[in-house]
Amino acid sequence: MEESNLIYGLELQARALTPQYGEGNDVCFFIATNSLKPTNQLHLLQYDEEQGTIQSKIFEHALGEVWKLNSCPHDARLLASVYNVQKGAQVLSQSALLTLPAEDANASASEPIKSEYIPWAQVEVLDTAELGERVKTVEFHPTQEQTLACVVGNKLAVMQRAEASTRVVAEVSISGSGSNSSSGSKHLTPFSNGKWSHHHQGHQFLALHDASVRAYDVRDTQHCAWSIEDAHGQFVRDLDCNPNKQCHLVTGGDDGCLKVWDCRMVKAPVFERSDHSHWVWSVRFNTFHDQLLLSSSSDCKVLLTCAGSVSSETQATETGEGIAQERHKVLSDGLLQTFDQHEDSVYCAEWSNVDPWIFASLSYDGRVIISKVPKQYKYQIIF
Amino acid sequence: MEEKENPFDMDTSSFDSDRYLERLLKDCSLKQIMDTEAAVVKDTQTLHSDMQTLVYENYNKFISATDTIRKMKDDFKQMETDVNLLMTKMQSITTFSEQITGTLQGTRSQLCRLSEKHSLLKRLQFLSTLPAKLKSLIEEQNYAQAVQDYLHAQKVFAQYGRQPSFDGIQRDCDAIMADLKERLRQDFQRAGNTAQSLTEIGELLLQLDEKTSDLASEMLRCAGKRLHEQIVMLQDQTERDMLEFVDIGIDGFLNDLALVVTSYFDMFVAKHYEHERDDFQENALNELNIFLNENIDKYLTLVQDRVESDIGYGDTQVMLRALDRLHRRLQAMRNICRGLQVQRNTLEIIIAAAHQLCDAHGKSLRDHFADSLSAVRLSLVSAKSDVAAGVNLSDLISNLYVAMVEKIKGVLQDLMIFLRTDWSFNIKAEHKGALCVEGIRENLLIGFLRHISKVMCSFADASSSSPPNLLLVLSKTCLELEQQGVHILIALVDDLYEIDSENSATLTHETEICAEMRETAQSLLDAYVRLQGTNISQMLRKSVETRDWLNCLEPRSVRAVMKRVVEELGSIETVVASLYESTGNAGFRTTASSDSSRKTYFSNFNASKPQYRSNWSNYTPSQLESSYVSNIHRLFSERVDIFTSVEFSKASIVMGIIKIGLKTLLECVRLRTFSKFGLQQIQVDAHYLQMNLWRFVSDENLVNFLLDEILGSAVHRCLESVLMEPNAVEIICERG
Repeated sequence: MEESNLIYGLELQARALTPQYGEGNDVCFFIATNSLKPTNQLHLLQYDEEQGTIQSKIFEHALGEVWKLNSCPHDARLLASVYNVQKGAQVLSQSALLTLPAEDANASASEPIKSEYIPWAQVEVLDTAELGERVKTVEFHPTQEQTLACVVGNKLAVMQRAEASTRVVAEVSISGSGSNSSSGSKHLTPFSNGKWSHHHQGHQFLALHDASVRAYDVRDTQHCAWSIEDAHGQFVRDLDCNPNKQCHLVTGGDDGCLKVWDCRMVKAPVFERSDHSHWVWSVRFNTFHDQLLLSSSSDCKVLLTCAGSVSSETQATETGEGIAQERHKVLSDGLLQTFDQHEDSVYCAEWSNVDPWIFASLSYDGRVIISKVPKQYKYQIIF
Repeated sequence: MEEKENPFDMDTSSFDSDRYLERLLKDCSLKQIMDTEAAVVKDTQTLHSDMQTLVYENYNKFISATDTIRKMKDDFKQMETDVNLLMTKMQSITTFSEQITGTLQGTRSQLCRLSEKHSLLKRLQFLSTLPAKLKSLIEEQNYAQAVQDYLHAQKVFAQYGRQPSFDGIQRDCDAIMADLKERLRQDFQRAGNTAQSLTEIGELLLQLDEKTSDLASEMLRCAGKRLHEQIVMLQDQTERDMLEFVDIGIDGFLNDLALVVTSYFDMFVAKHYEHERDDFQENALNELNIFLNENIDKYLTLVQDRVESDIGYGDTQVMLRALDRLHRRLQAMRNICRGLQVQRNTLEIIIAAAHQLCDAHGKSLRDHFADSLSAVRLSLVSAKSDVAAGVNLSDLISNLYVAMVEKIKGVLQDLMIFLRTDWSFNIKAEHKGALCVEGIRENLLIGFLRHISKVMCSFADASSSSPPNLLLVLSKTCLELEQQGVHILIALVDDLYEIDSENSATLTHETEICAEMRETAQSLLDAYVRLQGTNISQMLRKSVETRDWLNCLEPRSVRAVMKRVVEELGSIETVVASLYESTGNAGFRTTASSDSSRKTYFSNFNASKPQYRSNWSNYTPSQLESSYVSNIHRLFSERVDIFTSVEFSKASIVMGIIKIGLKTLLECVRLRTFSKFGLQQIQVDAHYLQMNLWRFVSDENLVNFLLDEILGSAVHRCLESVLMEPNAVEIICERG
């Protein structure tokens, strides 16, 4: 049988996709629509591999059009959304923490009321008014359950939910954006995205700012641990940390390049590909086999790239035979597979956190495609 | 067949007169008969008188003979008495002579003994004066004579050595000779001797019963020392040119070596020595072989060093002439020494030199290429004015291209010198040499071409910040190389060096290089498109991102950035057109670029897509789900592949740039939220682009598709999707 790619269609444009973390063995993804018309939706997709079907639960996202979704790594029911609301003649970006209803509760409730949306257990709008009008992302801390990082406009803030305290950790200053002369005069270029570093005991937060990547130590204010200036020559769209290898991160930018960096040597990337022909919107390391890189782009393609030479798996083979079981084959570097079933820009592509061979991609026209790593590569890596 | 005896011939004995007459009468006329008769009569008369004369002569002779005989008879009688007298006298002489002989017998034997004694005495005197003579000879340094004398005396001593008186002399002589030997040996070992004298001394020592094997090794040792000195001397000759250097080497070193080798060969190898072991000759030959090879090796190493340091700087012709001379000399030497093998060959040096020269040329080619590249780059950076750039570019390309090709040609010609037919060596004859010649093709030419494409490829890297026009120039140069240059150069090298590349499995085929060149040209062109596309994108992105689309006024004009984009595209097009005009125009565009057709285009456009237009204009938020519209539209429009490799034509290049720019605009629009007027501004901009971009491209549908997509996305992102009247839009755009 061919590699079956399951397609799930939304009726509205969509830009947000995130896997559901948690203990379950089901491959689950959240997606949310991005439409100015009311009743934006949030779908929880559950992929049944044996039957090859997708079951979905639909929630209403009444707050506004969703630009970004992040799910909590500690609580499968918790997720954070970033959305736009209209306030007079202005559009504001805000964020909210959404909690799914408990499993058993909705099981009985959802059956009778078919067409209705499943109600949320809790919706908590984060108070970001002081920080700014444009929330870019809300990131859950990888280990500390109560800690959130908020990228709002040109500020980066860390929130302790237990204490209900918010502390601004970093702010783009005039001097910081001085190099950017075209926009520097009128207004500062804000942060565009960010992510917690998986390493450094969770003290570092990586923020994207125009063409550069900056790592801030959250224990101190305005403490930039290191930075990669001009990482892509143009706008940097997304980044991801290698979960298995210290100091390694991947970035994707408007130059269509995919670069893997070692933050100890920021002069040049350790790995670089430019297979995309337009902006790279998302890049992800595979959590289990970090030689596999998933990237999506507005050239309507999702690419599976191998960066074996800089993966943690290469290290394992080099250092010792003791961990022979852990050792996997490393594929040769380069583009492995192009997935071009999408017909519009693909803004999100995410690995499943349950099955290392499954990933989902979402294009603007609302099409979700759940695909698998082609068998030949899978077998090459396993055996 | 003719009868032997003709009865009609009057001169033969078988003449038959009757038959003759009969035939005469029968055959001839009367006149003839009468003539014949007259002739016969005349003949008869002549014969008759002849006979008479003969008889008369003989008669006279007979008479005189008779007289003579009579006279002789008288003389003989007188003679008889004389002979008798003589006989008696002779008898008396005989008796006298017998008497004398008898008396002289005793004295003669005495004389014999005396002369014998004289010679003995003479020899004794020689012996007794020998020591003195030897000394004087030695003092005169006439060693050869001394040795000769001594050897002469040696025989005598061998015979009479027992006698005490001789013993003394012998001892004296031996002492002197031992002295001489010592002196000779010192001379032998002394440095600064010529090989000539070395040989002479060696020969003398050999005559003096020096131990042959010792002498043999001693000789080689000393000669080796001497030759080493020569080598050292040669090493210092750095300021002389190659030809002189080789001449000195040939005159000094090689001549000496040849002399030593031949004399050694004559002295030890060719002769047989009784008192040496049986395999002495063989050993001697062996040693000589080793010696010879060692020295030739040393010398050739020196020459090679010299060649290595000189090649690429001096005149190759001079060097090759020198090497040629050396080659001849060694060839001659090889012929002299039969039974000896000279392993090392000058050919290797020559081949090494050829290799080195190839490398040097390769390097200079690379340097030249790098220089011309930076020159091109510099002139591109300095001459920024867009108007002149068009002419400039094609000039630059042809300069770069022609300079490169000419330089390669020059180098190839230069290397031909190794293959000149008047050299005594033939590089191609040897396998290594043939490899070397192929190396010229593979390493020098192909290597350089590969280098070109590699270096050019590195410019295509996104990280290298090269001016976009440089990429265009390089791409075109590569293309030119692919289409002509590679073929010309490879044909040239194959022709010059008579390489049969078509049928060779190891040699790189022309098409491989062409493919590489084309690939490079393609990637450079892609990089160019990408770079220019990025520049356009950057403009568009900033313009969308920095504007407040929610609170803008009703559009009155096209935004300035759109005009700049169009201007930029226009200047790009002129630049590209200067390089690709001829190929780009070949039936790509169906619509001719005249004013009339432009009008038709618009009317066509309006006719072909009225439904679509009305869709957007009639659209209100409450109506159709917007995604349905776009999806259905997408369903019916064929999928457009936006990002494809560009072709080598103007339209394709510009289209590539436009596609990237429009795609960026689309993405930027999707990130924003628009008010009614914001949307209308986008509508105006899109229409303006539609009006202006069509002339750049071959496929207007693609541009229209992208612009529709942009407008569609803007409608999605609009809070109050009300489009402007198309007529109003057109008026604004016309106004500019």
